[in-house]
Amino acid sequence: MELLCIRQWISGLLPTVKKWLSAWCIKPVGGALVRQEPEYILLALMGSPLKKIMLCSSEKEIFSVEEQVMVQHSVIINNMIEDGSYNHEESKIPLDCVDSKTLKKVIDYCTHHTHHHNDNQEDLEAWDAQFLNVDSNGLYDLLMAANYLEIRNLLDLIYGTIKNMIKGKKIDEIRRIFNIKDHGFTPEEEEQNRKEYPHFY
Amino acid sequence: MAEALFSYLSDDILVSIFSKLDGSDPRHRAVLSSVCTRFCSLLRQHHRLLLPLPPSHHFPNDSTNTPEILLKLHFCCPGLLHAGVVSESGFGSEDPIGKRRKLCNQKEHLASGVWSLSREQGSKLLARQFRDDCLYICDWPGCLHLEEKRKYRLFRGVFVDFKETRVWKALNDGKNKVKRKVDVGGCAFCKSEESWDLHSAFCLRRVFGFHDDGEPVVRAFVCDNGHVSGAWTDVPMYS
Repeated sequence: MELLCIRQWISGLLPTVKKWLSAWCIKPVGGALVRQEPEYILLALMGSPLKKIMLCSSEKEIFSVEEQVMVQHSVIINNMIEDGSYNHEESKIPLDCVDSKTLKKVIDYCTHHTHHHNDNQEDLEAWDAQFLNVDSNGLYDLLMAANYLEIRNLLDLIYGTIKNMIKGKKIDEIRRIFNIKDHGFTPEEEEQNRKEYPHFY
Repeated sequence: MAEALFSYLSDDILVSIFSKLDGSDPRHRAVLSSVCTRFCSLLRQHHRLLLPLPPSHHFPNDSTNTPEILLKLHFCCPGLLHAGVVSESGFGSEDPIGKRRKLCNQKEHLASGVWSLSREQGSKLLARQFRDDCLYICDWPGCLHLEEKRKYRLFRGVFVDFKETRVWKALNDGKNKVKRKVDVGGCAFCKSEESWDLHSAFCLRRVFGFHDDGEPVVRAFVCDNGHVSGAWTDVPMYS
């Protein structure tokens, strides 16, 4: 709600702001200001339009991404920028546990959810479903990256996906999904469990 | 193998995944705690994650009512035998298919109907003088069994601190003690071999009454550990 009020306030300022921008010779860069979205105008006023940060994957590949996008989604990156440990001029943030393929996907997720947060819920959910249409390896890598970067909504999404993989499944199937070769029960305990809950095996 | 990666998930990630499951469905806990000792231990540590519902907090140190038994009470129907509807001696001359069908319904099985237990339901069962005893019974309509004569809605439940209850005192009172013991094939939920007939011990509400053929409208049996199995039937429309 607060964001809505700010947006309305900014929208009210727009005609004045546009006049100032042209007076100060601030030209649109890369099409960003042309989009006329109020938050971009405000960022321009603040003198930091679409500030970028550099993320470095485990394969030493550099990804340039809007600071706002990552700050909104990743608690770790937000903390680094807030406490001043990230120097925009020189630094890149090394993410040694995240490979390039996964990092690109994480950036896609965060960027989409920043730029499309006003989309209706159904469209967002459809996009998320498509985003997570990956194999188990990919899902695991995304989970590890989201956990490391503390991206809450992506983590929740992945938890929900794994929950759906095990919900309603029999015990033997869940053991296969998690590759549990040694369940740890004694033969007597296992037999007792199978007698107690035969319909779950 | 891709799936092998999931075996490396940390405890807090597993707990987060489990927390997404519907905590009120006792099946999830039953299944997950039987997958491996690690899951079982996590669920015990985070017992609020996946309920078992109300009764568990009443039994903190009760070895006869472990979390596993309490869980089983939620979704396991005791079957027609343990609920005292049929006896083990059989069903007379029936065709083999009918006999097999009856065998399935006799023993404990996954209950149909609601899986929650409530004290309110237990209070409705007991006679006035026993209302202070804490009895949890599964909610109406119980597990429906359509038999030749009538419909039986099997229920199950448990007394809290059974040996401290007035029901237990009444069951053990004086000369009629032996007559109240019945054989319903033992308890469906524990190793107790004997059960007590709550109806003949006047522990149930008097209003329930009998059908024309002498069958009680409500029957209930309790084992030494306070596990209750019984059956509701539909009240006759006419007296």
